[in-house]
Amino acid sequence: MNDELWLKRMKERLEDYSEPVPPSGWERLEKDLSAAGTSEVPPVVVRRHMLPIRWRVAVAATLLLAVSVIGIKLQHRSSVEEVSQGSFITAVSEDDEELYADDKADLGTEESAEAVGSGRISGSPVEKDHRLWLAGLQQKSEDKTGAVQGVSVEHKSASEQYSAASTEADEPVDVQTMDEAESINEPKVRRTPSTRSKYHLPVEGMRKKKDGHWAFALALSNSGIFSTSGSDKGLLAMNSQGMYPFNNGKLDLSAASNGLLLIPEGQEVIFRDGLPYLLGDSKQLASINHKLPVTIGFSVRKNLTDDLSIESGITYTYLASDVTTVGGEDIKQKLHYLGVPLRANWRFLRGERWELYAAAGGTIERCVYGKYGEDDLKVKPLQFSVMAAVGAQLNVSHRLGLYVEPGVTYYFDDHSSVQTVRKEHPCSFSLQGGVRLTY
Amino acid sequence: MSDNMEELELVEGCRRGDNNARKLMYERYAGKLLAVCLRYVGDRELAQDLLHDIFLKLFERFDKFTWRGEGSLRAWVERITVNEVLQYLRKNDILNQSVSLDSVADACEEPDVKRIDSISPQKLMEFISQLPAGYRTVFNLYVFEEKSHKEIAQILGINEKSSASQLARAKAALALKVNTWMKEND
Repeated sequence: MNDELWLKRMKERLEDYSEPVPPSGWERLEKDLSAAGTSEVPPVVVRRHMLPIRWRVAVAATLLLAVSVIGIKLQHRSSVEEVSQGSFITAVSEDDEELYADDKADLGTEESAEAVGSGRISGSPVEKDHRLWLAGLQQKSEDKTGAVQGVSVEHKSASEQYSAASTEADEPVDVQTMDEAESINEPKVRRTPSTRSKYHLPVEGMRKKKDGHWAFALALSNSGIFSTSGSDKGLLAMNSQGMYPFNNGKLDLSAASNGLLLIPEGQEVIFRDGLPYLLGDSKQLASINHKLPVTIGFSVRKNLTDDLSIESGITYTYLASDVTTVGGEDIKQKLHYLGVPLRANWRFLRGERWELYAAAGGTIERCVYGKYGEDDLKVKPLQFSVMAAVGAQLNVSHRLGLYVEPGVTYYFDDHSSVQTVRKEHPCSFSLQGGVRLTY
Repeated sequence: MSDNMEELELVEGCRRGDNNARKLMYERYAGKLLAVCLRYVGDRELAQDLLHDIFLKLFERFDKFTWRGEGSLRAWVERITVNEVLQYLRKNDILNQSVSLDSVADACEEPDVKRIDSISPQKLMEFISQLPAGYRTVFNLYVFEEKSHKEIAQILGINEKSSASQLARAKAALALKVNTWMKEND
């Protein structure tokens, strides 16, 4: 219609033109509407039983806040646990208590003795937890190196580490990781190193959402965890001699009565002060420092209804950690995961230029490649996780939107022997931000 | 800003079947939609009947509507209106009515834009309504719905050339009316 200016003008003049409507128009319509029964609330409206707008805004704000607070609290709590379960846990199982009752004070360093001296560490794991907590706090203040060890009491983990601590960071430390430990009468104490963890704002790439149909998204994110430990290195420390107490689940202590002991391969037993100690494999992990995980993802979203959609895709995650081995070597642990997420999104509130939505779902990940120094590392089990998030999106223009999505992710223990940041902090709070295109 | 909030509330109300919301909706859009109908069908009574049916349909379909910002409600409403009108025309075979060939001069001086400005909207509407049905439909789709001849051909089930020639004739007819009126009222 280029040279047809007059036609354009006609259109302009008539665009907003309104014809006078017959006065009975509405009445007639109203009658027909009620006759047709369409003035009843149709079934589909049931799900749209919306609260008035102000209420919805309040609900949304509360949800957003709640998720954030819960996330922060979880992080804070887990890191506090870490901090508090300081250094030297000489946790002894009920079985072994009798054996070592008198010698507890000898286990570990003098510092550990101090800590242990606070009382018999016995009883249920929960109880132990409390005492360890106290011990830890005490220790922390005396910690020379500023290194903080973390211990978390695991009640169900099959993988256990047993350790007593030393705070001498410069000493070689030994730890034995009883990865495939079968015996569960061992103290349910697992030593987990604290990690340097930061709260990160991930960056997300383009995200496309097709109107009512499919949406594609590209994502880059770091998941963050709060930690108040403030320490870079976590020590899985033993005692000052670089040995750790004998209490190894793999060793059958009952056999000791025959004078026979089964010692796992690659281990050496030495005796000090009449007590047996195991000198661990020098390649074993002594301390680990987890780097921030990086995730890149691509996802596809399908709208089921206006507000509800499901989403899946593929993610790639890189978990890297700096390990200091028992033998004093610094090696890198690198794990590459591929994952398939599945989640549902529900837009519960909309405004002129914004929308709020909630999302929940899970991911299954598989380690496709791993390296521990020079050696290949295989993580057989699958990593499961679940997540929940709340998102807020601001529609800058008709097609372009900016969003932020705080969320909480919980990583189930994969029961593998490999230490990752997810074992350290199974529950993490993350904040995603990104750009979304709508067609 | 508040208009949009208001509009959203209106939409929600209509979805729920709230009578007040529906009445407001009617008051807001009936006039414009009637104008659209009239443009297409030319006859006032017919246009009013169509309007009635259109509103029934609108309220029925509200649950499928997604508000996507300013202007989205109006666009949706107008789209449904045009579709309903076209359906009517198709059903009643109006589009295929042959037009008497003597009624139009193909070549006609195109009116000046200023002339269009000087004519009242009601009069312009009248001119359009007076067009033969076939031309009128093509004219409306081309000028107001801004469809291409290809699209018009698809919508009406005619071929592109036919659409183009019908538009040309519609333009000529209108131009004639405008020029005549200008002469008579100068």
